Amino acid sequence: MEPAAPGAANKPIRKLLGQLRSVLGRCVPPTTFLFAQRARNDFEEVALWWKPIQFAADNHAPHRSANNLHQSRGFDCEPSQAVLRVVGRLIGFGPPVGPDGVLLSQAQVLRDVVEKAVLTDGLGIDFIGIEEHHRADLAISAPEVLLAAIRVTHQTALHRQNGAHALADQKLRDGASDAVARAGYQCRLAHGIEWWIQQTHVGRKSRVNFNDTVAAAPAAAQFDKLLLADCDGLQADLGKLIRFQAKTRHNTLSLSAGARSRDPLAIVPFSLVVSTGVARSLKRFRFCRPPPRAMEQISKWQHLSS
Amino acid sequence: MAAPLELGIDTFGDVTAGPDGALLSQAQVLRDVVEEAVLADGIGIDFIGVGEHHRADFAISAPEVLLAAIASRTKRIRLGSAVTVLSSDDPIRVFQRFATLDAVSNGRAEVILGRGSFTESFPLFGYELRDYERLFEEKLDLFAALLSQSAISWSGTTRAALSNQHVFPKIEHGSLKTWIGVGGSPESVVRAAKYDLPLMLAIIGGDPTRFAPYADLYRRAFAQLGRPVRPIGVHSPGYVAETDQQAREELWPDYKVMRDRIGKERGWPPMERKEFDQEASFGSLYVGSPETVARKIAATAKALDLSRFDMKYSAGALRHDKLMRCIELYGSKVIPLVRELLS
Repeated sequence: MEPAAPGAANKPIRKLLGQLRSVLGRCVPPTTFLFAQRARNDFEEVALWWKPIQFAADNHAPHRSANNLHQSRGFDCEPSQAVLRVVGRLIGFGPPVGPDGVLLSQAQVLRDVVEKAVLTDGLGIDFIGIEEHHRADLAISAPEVLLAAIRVTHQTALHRQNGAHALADQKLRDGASDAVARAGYQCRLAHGIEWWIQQTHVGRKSRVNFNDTVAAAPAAAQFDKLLLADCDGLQADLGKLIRFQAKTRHNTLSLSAGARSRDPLAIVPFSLVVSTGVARSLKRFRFCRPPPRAMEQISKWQHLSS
Repeated sequence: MAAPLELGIDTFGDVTAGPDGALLSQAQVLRDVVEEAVLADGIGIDFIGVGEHHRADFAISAPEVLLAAIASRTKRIRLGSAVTVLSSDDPIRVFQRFATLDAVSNGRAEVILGRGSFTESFPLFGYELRDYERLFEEKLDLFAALLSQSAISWSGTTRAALSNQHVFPKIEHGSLKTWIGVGGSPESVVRAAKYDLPLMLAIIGGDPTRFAPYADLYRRAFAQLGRPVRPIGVHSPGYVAETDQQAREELWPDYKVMRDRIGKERGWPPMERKEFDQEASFGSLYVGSPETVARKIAATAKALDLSRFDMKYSAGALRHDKLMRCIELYGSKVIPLVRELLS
């Protein structure tokens, strides 16, 4: 299916953005920016990207700032830049498993990395680093080849995003009857920095399952609780992959995140796909501030890494 | 012919001149090659091969990286090296890069393994020219083992041994299409058959039918091994313009400079126009109008029973806009004509 022309996509997106701002305005962090992407068929997508390092520098540790973080990691880029590092599968940027929960082929993971990376280009991420590994669980062994496949035009970002989310859209369409919203949430967690993210309310019929390192599996948990539980999991077991899924009656809302120990860099991409009833759906999205404990943790990590 | 002839193009990323006649940067040349490939994809050309070189006059030293950039902007054209100098590379690295390319291009990668007709890569990567044969033999042996995609155990004299190790990423569907590029050594022809790999003949001069014995040898080797024969392809230089005369006049000055520069290193005399015309009329230079080039390709394809013909369209400083025109004519006129002639 051909993507909608960017121009055509912009109108509903602008409307959506306006609505988002009016709903979220006062609780969006100062360095957060909104970026609207395409509209296609009945679905609009809004991607919200945080620059967590910059945010941390602005608000919590100005004297230690992102500058130190970057230098300590050996990155050759400006301290104010948001940096994304990608390793491929398990702690990579992008869903490590397919919709059915089975591990994807390495080839598919590589294509997914390209899609996500192209997306970052349109969203203000300044640098993408791809790590070389030679393991079954990490798909990237030839970073420069993968990097060359990443197109760098905004036009492309729009185009590719359609491909990347085609499956998600199809799924949403299939079970759309009482699905309120589907949030695609993909991020790298690092030391609690994700507490900026969001909570997503998926309605009364929600059921939430926790997998992997998050042992607790409270039924019908709200997402704010989920995030808090997740926070506990992180503290208890830094470095392990955390994956969780939330299910509505007809839709699966897949959330995946990886945590990696002793990595002060974090990037928190977050995208929402909302159904046609945009205004109605928006009421169901709420955003929270990071809990104080996470802030302490961030400061601690910045201190350690400087 | 079992399958219809595939028609492709090759380039070495020859450093071209800009509109003012001055040579462009290699970086610009690389970007131009991407544009050329995008055009080729849109116009129905089956394959683009980019050749690895390590010289000032050819910009491509890392084919897979360029091919990945092309992959991101194309839909259907197959992507290959022409050739990858396996002797001075690590077979595992080569496999990984092409497997990555195969993934991002949705299975369009092909590798043509060769020894290369230039030798710059040997001192550049710390190899001895006296090991020319052994390096290729051993590395091909390892590469062929990698194609099975199972755990590798291998030992040789040219690199560290491997014991039950896996190489990632794996090829998603089937195997990585791997050709052996051959310049004219019968041993290489037999070796390709031994490893059950397709054969790409580089015919850069003289009457192409001279290579019929090589094609026969290849097919006889398969018959002896009792296996179904694999495809044979040909790589030859060429250039298409509106008329025969225009094609020759446009190509000649830059072709001569390129030929003489390489010839000087190899002890060849400077090229005379007569030799150029001879090659164009009777040899392996596919230069001329679409009709002329198509007839010539069809004749070679018939004589050698080819599955693939790749025309190397770049020629020294010959400008990007002319190369684009050439690709356009090749895709829109030459290819349909060749198919017509062969049907």
